[in-house]
Amino acid sequence: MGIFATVALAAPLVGALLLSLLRLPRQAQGLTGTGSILVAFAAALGLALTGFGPAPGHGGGTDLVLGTWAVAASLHVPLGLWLDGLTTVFVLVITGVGLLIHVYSLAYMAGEDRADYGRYFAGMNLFVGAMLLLVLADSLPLLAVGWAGVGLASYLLIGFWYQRPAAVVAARKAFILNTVGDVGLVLAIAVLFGTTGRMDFQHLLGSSGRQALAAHPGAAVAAGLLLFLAAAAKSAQLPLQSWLSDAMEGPTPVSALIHAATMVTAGVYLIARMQVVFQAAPVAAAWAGDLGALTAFGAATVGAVSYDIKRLLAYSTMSQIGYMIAGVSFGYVAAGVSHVVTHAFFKALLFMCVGLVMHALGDERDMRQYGGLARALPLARWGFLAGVLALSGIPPFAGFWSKDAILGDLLRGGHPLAWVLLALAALLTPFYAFRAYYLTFGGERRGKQAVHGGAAVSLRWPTVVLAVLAVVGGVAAVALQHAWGQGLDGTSMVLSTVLALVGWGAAWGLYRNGDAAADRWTAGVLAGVVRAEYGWEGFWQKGLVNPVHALAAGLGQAWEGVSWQRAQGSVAAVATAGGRALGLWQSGVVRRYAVSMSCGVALILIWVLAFAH
Amino acid sequence: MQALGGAAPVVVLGAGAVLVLLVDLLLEGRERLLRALTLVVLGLAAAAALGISGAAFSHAVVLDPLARVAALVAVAGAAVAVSLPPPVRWGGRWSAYLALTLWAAAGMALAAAAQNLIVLFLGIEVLSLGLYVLTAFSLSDGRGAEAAVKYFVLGGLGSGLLLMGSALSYAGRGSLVLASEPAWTGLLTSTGLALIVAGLGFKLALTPFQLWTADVYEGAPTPITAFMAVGTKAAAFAALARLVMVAFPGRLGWINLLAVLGLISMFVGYLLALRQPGLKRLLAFSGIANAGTLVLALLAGPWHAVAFLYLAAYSAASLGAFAVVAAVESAGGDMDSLRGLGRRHPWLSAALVVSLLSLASVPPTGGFLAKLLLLEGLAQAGYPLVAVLVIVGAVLALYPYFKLVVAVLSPAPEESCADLTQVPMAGLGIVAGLAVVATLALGILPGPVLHG
Repeated sequence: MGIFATVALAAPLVGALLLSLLRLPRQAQGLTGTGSILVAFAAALGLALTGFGPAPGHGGGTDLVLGTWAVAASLHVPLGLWLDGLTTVFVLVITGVGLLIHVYSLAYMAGEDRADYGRYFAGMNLFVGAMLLLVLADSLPLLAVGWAGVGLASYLLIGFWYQRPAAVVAARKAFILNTVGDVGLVLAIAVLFGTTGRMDFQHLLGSSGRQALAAHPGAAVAAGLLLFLAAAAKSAQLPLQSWLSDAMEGPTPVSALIHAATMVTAGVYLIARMQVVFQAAPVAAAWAGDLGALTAFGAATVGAVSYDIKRLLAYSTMSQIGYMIAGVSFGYVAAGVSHVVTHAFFKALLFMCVGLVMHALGDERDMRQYGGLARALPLARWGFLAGVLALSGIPPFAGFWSKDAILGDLLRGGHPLAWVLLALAALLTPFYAFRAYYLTFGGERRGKQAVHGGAAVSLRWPTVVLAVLAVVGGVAAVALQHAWGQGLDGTSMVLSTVLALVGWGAAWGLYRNGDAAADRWTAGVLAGVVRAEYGWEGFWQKGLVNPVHALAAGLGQAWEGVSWQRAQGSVAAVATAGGRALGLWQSGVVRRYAVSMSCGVALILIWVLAFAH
Repeated sequence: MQALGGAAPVVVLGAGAVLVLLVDLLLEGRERLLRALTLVVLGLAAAAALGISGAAFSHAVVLDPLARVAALVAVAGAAVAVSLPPPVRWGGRWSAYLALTLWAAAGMALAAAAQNLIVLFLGIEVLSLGLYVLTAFSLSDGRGAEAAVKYFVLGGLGSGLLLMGSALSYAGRGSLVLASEPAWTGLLTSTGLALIVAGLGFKLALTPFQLWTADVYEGAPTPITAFMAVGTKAAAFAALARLVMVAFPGRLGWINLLAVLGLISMFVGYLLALRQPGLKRLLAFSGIANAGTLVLALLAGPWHAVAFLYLAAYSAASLGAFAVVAAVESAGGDMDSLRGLGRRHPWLSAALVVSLLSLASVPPTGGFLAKLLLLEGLAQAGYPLVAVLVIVGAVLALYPYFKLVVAVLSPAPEESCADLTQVPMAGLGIVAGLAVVATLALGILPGPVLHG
């Protein structure tokens, strides 16, 4: 199984390297970009079939050592891959859904010229490769490499259309907020290294790491909170969530990749992987879980009033990731990770369908310009409907099985705050999902753009595959939960179903005609505040950015006051003058050189006779 | 080869030189064949250095990790000297050039493995004589001849110091063996030791014995400059390290002398580099500064790993930079020709930039990691002040290297930029590529070097 894991990791990275270094013709670019992910997916299947790996959380796992990265004093960083059930699930989702998105991209990005086409696939391959490194790493430093690689790739792809100012700003914002998370991760690694003395999973997740963390509860809490900070940045959770909705400036398949296969699930993985920390620090686990649940609820309310369909999906992702974070933070890894799987299916599907709609309508994203598209775009319509049903948690579609597992676990485990927030979110989810569905496909056409129907083959079949998975993918979720020792809970299932149906009913009652008039309430002041993410940006701007600017300006003036620049200038002048004076010494005259050398020998002799005799 | 024991690399290199001359006698003027043969000899020597350890010639020569690293660096330098394109004005016979290169490399390997002062002197002389001639190899080039004369006269002084020091220490200790017994104490021995340090300092280009460096580096053919810059340093450093190991322990006065020599060299090198005196002079000054820093590594707690990594990182980066300089030179260019090189020759420029970044100690290169470990070692061994001064030196170093990087990456005034399309790229590309790979590998996966 080691060879499969290595191939799965290497293929996308090699693809990214080839695509960025070679000037391939367009078809070869598509072939390389997609082929590398195909190889990775095949290897991932091989990995799953030869040894799925034990359930996470018990320290079990295979450490496939490839070498030693660094050894210095007590620091020992291995270079290797960590194989267990958690890794296998993530590798399968990343490569599988990633492959479908790559195939979809072949036609979706066909309008770009050759150089940009290659740049696009290079970025996508790097994205997948970095994410695979993240989930396969067998130590925290190596995980951090993948973590940073994911951040870099997301920057490159969100800002793919770098001529558009909005895209550049969005990419920068994503990168900066992610850097805050990176700092959290690095500090968490430092704390864990200080506490346990190790950074490799073999020891960290095993009994020695557990004991060390139990002996230092304060350090465990600090590590847990820092890990959550890192997870919050990558997974777009409060308080670092705001980059995700802006990240919609990237091409739509990029959004699909970010939301379904890579990037945002990294935070869920991190918390699931580092269960040992959260078990030792219930306080950190509670903060992480409750903030996740709050994100799930808050993002659902924003989604309910959004007009931009891609932003709506972004809030939906934030909300669903909130479920997963709440699940894994409180220790319900099976439920949380199974939601990663089903969410990957239906969220990638929803983005692909939105991509089809946008392709047909000249990149229009405002739902107020949609309406009545059901007949013109049947594939997008049925696909979107399947995705919406799965997202809403209507049984028996995929999302139901995993979302309900999280709700049931929280109810039984006694986490009332998180449960209430998530239940409210479960009520809102079908409402905003079906609102989007009815406003897009129901009723009459509202916008003026012409509809270009008919999609290329490579746009179609990934959509179809994902639609099927959104319908029946619940099997995978239930199987996974079963394998990791979790059963179904009848009471909770009934409750979840009722919540979902009530939410759907509300949307049906308001929007079933696809009538934009029913959406008037979203024009109100309150809805406007919600749509602006409750003024979150302004809060950061006034609370943090402006004071820092003021401080910087003040310090700058103070510096000028002491004529720092002149001091700088004089340092440079001294150094240059020193260089010039020494240059005179390098006269080029051999006789002087010999004299200098002799003087040097004399000085050394004097030194030796004085001090070292 | 096993039977030769620790002398195997030296013998292979020396015999290979004879073979090259013989082949040239039999088959006249087969330049490519001779070059290939030389590379094969170098490959064999590298294999011998890697695969064999132990003593030879009744323990006069011992191939230990220190000697191994130095021999490998010397062989790499020689391979670069053989692979790079010769400068524009080229006279003389290929076989002589190749044989002299091999002999010089043999001298380096011998000096690095020497266990007594006579063998050390022998090695230093063999390497020096080869390099004197090679420096003057472009007969038509007046600068080369001038540089060779300077090098020869001052080198004679350096060798004299070494020999005189050996004699005095023999008079004092009654032994030529580089061992801690008999002790290196007493007036005669100490004087001798000081002269030996000065002699080795000349070869390492430590201040105040560095004056020849810039002139010789500039006058010599660039491939030879590259060879000299890494090979001689590696050999002289190995010899100095051996001497320090046996003669200095517990003697604060000597250790402080080492620190002072190292620090002064580092600052003088970087300050001279600030003036941007031309590509090869810049690299010469960089070599002085790095030799000084390398000597400081001997102060660090467990110094082997630090010194090996530093030597390897410096050698890889220097060879990479010299490869590009050789290309620019053979197209007849200088500093100004670098402006905008990145646009015209992106791959070569990338190699140059990576090499310069490593020399400037920027991660993720070997130069960064080596300096980091050096600082850590100095701090642990109780030399925080030296560590701080090394940091100050590293800040000074940023300016000259980054100025070059900026020039390479700037959009060009087209006409001044070097056009390398006529330069034969095969050997050059391989050298630059390997150097970059080595530089990055040392920064990311330093394991093999760190553990000998």
